[in-house]
Amino acid sequence: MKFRPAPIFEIVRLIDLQPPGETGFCMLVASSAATEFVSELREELDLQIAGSLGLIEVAELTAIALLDQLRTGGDAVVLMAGFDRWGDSQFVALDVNRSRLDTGAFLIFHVDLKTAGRFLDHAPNIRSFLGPNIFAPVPDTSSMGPREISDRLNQLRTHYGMSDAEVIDRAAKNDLPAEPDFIEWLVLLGRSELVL
Amino acid sequence: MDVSAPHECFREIRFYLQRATDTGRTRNGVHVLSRRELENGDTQINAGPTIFREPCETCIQFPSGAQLSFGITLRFDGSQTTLLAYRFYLHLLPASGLRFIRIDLNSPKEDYDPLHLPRSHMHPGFEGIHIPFPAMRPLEILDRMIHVIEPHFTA
Repeated sequence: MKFRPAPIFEIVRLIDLQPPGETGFCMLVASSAATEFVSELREELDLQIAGSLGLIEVAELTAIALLDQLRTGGDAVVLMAGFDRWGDSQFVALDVNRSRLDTGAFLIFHVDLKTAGRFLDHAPNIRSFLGPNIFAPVPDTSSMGPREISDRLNQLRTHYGMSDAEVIDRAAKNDLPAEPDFIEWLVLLGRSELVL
Repeated sequence: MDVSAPHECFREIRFYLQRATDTGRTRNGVHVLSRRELENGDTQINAGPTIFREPCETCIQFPSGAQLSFGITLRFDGSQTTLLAYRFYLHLLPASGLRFIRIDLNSPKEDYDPLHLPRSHMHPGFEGIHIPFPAMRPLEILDRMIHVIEPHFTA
């Protein structure tokens, strides 16, 4: 089974690129306890496609009951979780009735690694619907790392010919130049409280 | 000025830059965006280097060859967001007649001279000239940079 790590932003980009009214499929491989990505998914969906996110807990549902819920729901994107409680025959039943998945929504199957294997083995047609859209959600990588912070501080020191200590000292005396670079300098140093 | 919470502001900018790339206005954007969030809520959002230098591989690239970098500092007290400062630097091609356009919101000091150094201003290619410019939300500045100013100088 091939899946690639992807931040939620990129997964929602995929949803955004789906032609309107066409059913989309995606599998997110993550521990059943990993639910922190759901709020991020909701926020990104709200921003990028202004679409609603429906959540379906499938553990106590049969495949047919799940398909009924999908048919009557009106959400643009539906996240389904709880497949770890399903037996193999449930996946087979879902696969046999796969045409009823064609609801016009973007369907996301949240499964843990072990369940992903069972799901894909027993639902080969749904597997073909998924194609390459099998992802492991990963944290956003946009936060500056120590190296980037260090590089940016070096740019500032070189450009202005000042040390970090001088900047902090002048900020404490309310004597810093007004340019935005100096505010950034203090944020990079973690001393932005000096900006009043 | 009503500004979104820093993490929302970051998402809005990221999506805005993605759209700009999708529509061909820029060649890149999302992958040069980064942020630093402090525990006190203050947040720095950057695209491109802090100090512009040619060649700028980490800037936002326009098909024309123009390049954009920016830095935005936000303060968040748990309920309200304040724009502390920003800089938007658009590097233009020599044929444009101007080397760069820079739009700044300086730090919130009280002793500004509105004639020579207004807090919110534009540099029209010269560091020493500060033309008053209205303070705007980050996406409004990006709108002007990407859809008005850059096309004007590269048409």
